[in-house]
Amino acid sequence: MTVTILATVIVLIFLGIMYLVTLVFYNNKKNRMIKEKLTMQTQFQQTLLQTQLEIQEQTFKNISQEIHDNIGQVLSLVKLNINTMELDKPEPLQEKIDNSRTLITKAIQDLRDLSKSLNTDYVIELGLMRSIEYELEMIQRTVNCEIAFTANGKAYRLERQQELILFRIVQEVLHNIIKHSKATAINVTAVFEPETFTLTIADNGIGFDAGKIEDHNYEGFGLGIRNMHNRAKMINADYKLTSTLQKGTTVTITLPLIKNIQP
Amino acid sequence: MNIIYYQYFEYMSLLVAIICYRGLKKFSIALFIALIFLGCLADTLGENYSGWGLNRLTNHNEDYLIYNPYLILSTPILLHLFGKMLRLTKKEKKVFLWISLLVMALILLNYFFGEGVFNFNTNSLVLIALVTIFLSVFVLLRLAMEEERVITFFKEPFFWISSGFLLFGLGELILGLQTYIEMNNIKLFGKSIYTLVMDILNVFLYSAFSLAFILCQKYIRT
Repeated sequence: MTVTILATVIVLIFLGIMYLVTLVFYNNKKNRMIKEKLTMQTQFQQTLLQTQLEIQEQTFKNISQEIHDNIGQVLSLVKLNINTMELDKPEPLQEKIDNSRTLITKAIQDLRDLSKSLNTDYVIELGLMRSIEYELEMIQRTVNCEIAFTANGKAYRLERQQELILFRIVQEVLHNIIKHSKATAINVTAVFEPETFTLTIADNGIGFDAGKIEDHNYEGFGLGIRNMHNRAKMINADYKLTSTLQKGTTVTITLPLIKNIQP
Repeated sequence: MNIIYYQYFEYMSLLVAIICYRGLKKFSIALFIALIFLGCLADTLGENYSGWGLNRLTNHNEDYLIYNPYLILSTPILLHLFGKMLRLTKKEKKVFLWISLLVMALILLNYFFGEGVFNFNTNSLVLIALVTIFLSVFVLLRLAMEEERVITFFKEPFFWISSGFLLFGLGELILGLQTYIEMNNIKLFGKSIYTLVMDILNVFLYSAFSLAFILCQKYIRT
């Protein structure tokens, strides 16, 4: 009987200890998960901040180019008009005044557009579609290229972070097209579907061997492409790059919509 | 004056609880001082029951006259402390209150109409042990399930308190067999199994309490 009672006590206490050990193990696992989650959140915030800074930097570049190539030229033309005005010849004078007025109106409009983009939160304020449109307008002014932008489906707003990251990817893709592709046409398409949002950027440039990129899982290639791929992953989007030599490149970003769609 | 070795741990935990009063208050478990004080008083009187002539005073040789009221007095404090450690919501508080009232009613019924004043209230003790085990398991689960912060169990006062209560409660369950053990005079190493096991569990319980109280105090310093 002594053995039975003692065994019962030992078994009960052993079960209690096992319960405590299991809880400790479970808690350690949970702690690791919480820490990982926190690290991921911090990483996400850092990437988001970096994305904002890159957008800002790109915007400043655009502004500088815009001031130099467009507004500066327009104002120079106005100055030239004023300098060559002859008060004793009323007809050409009136023409030059009208011309200068038109040029100044254009310069004012361009300045207004520029001041809008100086606000670093303009992607959030304007929304992804308008921001892409604006970006394409800016490119159109500087590059001799046919640009088309189409949106299909009933438009909706995405989450703030998603819009920021998508816009940055678009900026990077466009930048790459201008820099490397020698394309004469750029086609941007946004497709709004109830469960997915798809953005396609295609060009008809020289293209490259995209197979290598997928073989190496986006590692070892330009920081830009890897960054775009990583950023897309961060918002759970699928980033697909296809390219054919001498035919062009297409980037397709597909974002599954799970929650938080702002109407 | 007779003092069993585990009582030193009991007195020590009372002393630590008094020293760490502010820490205990911060965790809303200052009533532990009252609970341990009652335990110290009951154990001291119980161990010296015949030595101090309490048996002549009460006309009874058994110390149940001390331990039965101890059970009645300590249980509401114990339940209150568990209520605090569980960090109950408003709805849960209501359920907990009803369970506590039911437990108290059963203990009082057993005292007055069941096993009575002059017999040890084994049924009450087993009931308290079961409730203690059940509530300790819940406190520990609550701690483990907390999703908002990183918790190091060994630095959590409630972990040590609940672990102590859980293992003590599991051991205490054999007290249900106490009458049988005594009737058959079952011994191990010349001691009653009950005494042997409970002494060891008491040492663990009060050591765990002391450690928990120190952690409470440490918490307010950081």
